[in-house]
Amino acid sequence: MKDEDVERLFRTYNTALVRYLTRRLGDRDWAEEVAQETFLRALRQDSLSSERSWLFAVATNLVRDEARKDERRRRHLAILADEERAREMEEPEPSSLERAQNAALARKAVDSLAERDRLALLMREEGLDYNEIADALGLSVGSIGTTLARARRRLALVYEAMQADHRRGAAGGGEGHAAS
Amino acid sequence: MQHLDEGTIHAWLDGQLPLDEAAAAEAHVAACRPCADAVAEARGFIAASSRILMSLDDVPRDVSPKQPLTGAQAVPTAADVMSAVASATPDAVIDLASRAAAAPRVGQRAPRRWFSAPSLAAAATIVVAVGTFALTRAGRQRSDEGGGVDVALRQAAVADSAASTVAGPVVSAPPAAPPSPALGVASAANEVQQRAKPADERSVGSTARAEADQSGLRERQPERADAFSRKAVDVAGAKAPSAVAADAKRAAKTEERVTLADAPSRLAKDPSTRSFQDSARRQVAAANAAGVPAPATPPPVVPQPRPDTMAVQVFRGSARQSVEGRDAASAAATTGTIRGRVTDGNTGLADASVTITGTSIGMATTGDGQFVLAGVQPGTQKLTVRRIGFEPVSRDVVVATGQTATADIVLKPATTSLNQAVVTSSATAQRQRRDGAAASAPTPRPVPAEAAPGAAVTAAQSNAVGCYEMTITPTSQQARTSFRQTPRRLALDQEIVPSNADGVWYRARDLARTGAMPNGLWRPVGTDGIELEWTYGSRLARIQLTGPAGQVMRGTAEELDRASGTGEAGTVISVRSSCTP
Repeated sequence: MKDEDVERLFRTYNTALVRYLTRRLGDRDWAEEVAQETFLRALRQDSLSSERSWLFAVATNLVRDEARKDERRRRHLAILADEERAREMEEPEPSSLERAQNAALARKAVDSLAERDRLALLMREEGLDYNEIADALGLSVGSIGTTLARARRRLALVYEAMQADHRRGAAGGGEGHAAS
Repeated sequence: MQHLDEGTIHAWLDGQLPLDEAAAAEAHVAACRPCADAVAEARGFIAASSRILMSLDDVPRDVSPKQPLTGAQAVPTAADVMSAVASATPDAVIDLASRAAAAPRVGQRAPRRWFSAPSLAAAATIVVAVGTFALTRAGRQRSDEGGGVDVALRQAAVADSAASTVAGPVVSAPPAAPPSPALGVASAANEVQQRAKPADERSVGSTARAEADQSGLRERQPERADAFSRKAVDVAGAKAPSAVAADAKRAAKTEERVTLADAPSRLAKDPSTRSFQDSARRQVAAANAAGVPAPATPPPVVPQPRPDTMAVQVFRGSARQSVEGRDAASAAATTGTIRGRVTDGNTGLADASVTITGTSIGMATTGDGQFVLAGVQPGTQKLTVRRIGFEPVSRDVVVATGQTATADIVLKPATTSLNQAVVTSSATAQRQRRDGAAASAPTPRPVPAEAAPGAAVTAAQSNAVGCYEMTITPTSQQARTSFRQTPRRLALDQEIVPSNADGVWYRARDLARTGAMPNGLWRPVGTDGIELEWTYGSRLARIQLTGPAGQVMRGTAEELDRASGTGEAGTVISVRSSCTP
């Protein structure tokens, strides 16, 4: 591919790809590295028939290869960092606290999904259609609906359950505050 | 006909079924109650998933656990910037903002800044003061533990220490004149600082001076030092009950000893110390003007066993807290809370945006219409509530320090007609069918109508960072994600990656603070126009607007779903150019 083709690819897909990877990895620096590597690989291709699914598939594979060793560790660190942040802000303004907590809960909920379900959902959120998702993940088009249904249901339910737990935990602290 | 399975329902809602199957699904759902319920449930899961995934986009750059204030800098997060916007002076905002803008670049480090010897000395003094005070607090905490420290007690201790840091020095300083409300803010602050000095020095004790002497940092900048130290002590005190003991342990274990000359430079280097200083001043002034409630006894000063080394060790922990915990502590010490519920007269309204005019404080109401806004400056604040389909309501709420004010808001359905430009892209056959099917789903939202165009943006929030503020008001009932269900106000800020000569990638700051951070392309057009392009979820929106600075500019946005290539009618965009770029 020529430089200007890749530039166009970059302009068109970089935002979505980085967001997809960030959501997948929980680390934006890492996500940007992987996205860059993906575009570099695109440069080495003659042409791409389905460019978006190609990009997402390559990025996903890069993550899979690179991450195999230390992904678990990083993800754990990410959760720790989220929790730490949430804990440090004991009584700050509601929105930033809420955001930090929501992000931590969301991260856990996303991590609770099966890898295939998670990837399908993240790709769908970036606007890939069922054919592209099937291409990128090597699944049949007919199974994508079921995969997404399972992923969304589980994500929503797990998140809700964790939030309910969290609220119960927070309720005790709230009463203490009111008493003071 | 067989009922639809869940996968088919999702495929249908995603617009991914072949036309004939989609038509069949639609016909079936129209006639089948259980399937209609399943469709409604699936819609809920789809929207919830999008919302949950969106909250992941708040991921900060470095996810590894924080280092305890090492030589590399603490990069301010977006939240830092926003809270600074709420409370700091303009130049502090710019300072923070420029750091934040620089921060996203991989590997880029914030510029080092060196401070003069006097400011180092001043900071060194604080350090010891903080350490000593932290120990005091820790000691007190230990003595409390015998009786079992519950949450209420901790909260009480926090409140107590917050009060004592302001009031304590005034009370214990020998010739304390009564606080005069007539004094100007600055002079009031100064006066308290002057009075506080003897107390500070006494509590720090000879050890502190010895430490300062050893470091060869004898000069002081009393005003800065005291403003810093009060704030720092305040924060350390507030955090102390839960955190300092642990931090002290951690610090004691650390091999690396922080020298007095080194540590404070890190403290001083952090741009937040500037806003620190300011909020400390404001806080003191406010307390003074209000007539400081004097505690019955000054805070106890516990004798230090080996103060010279202990003070330094504890600094690491408490100073870190003093930087990171500043929001929490200042919120606890100087601000109030507004709590309430937004209803239509009967039931609670979810997703209404509740903001405090002139601040960046705000949130969307919960499912039953509840909201809680903490960290509100005391005084009369203007609370503004908006929701699609209802008239916006503003109300003055009196907030007292440390108190919770209640404000229940009843919204009336909007009667003003839609007179903003509306997206006119034509919907495809697929889209229309989707809409048609949606009519069979239960509980459609109220028909959206929009308030007068000016009203949507008059409550302009801080524009210190960006030059444009954009309001996005989706009017579609079939909003696919939560982003599309609530009106948004976005300020464009934070350069991310230069893409070409005449365009710059910008990140929009979501003023409603609901977590969406769409990215957009911003480009000046002519002398008084801009073109914006941004994405969120699978959508791409584009708009070109022209108008003089300071005016609200409105126009039509072209919005495309990148997946299906379908447009969605109904989204209203207005952009306010708030400064000349």
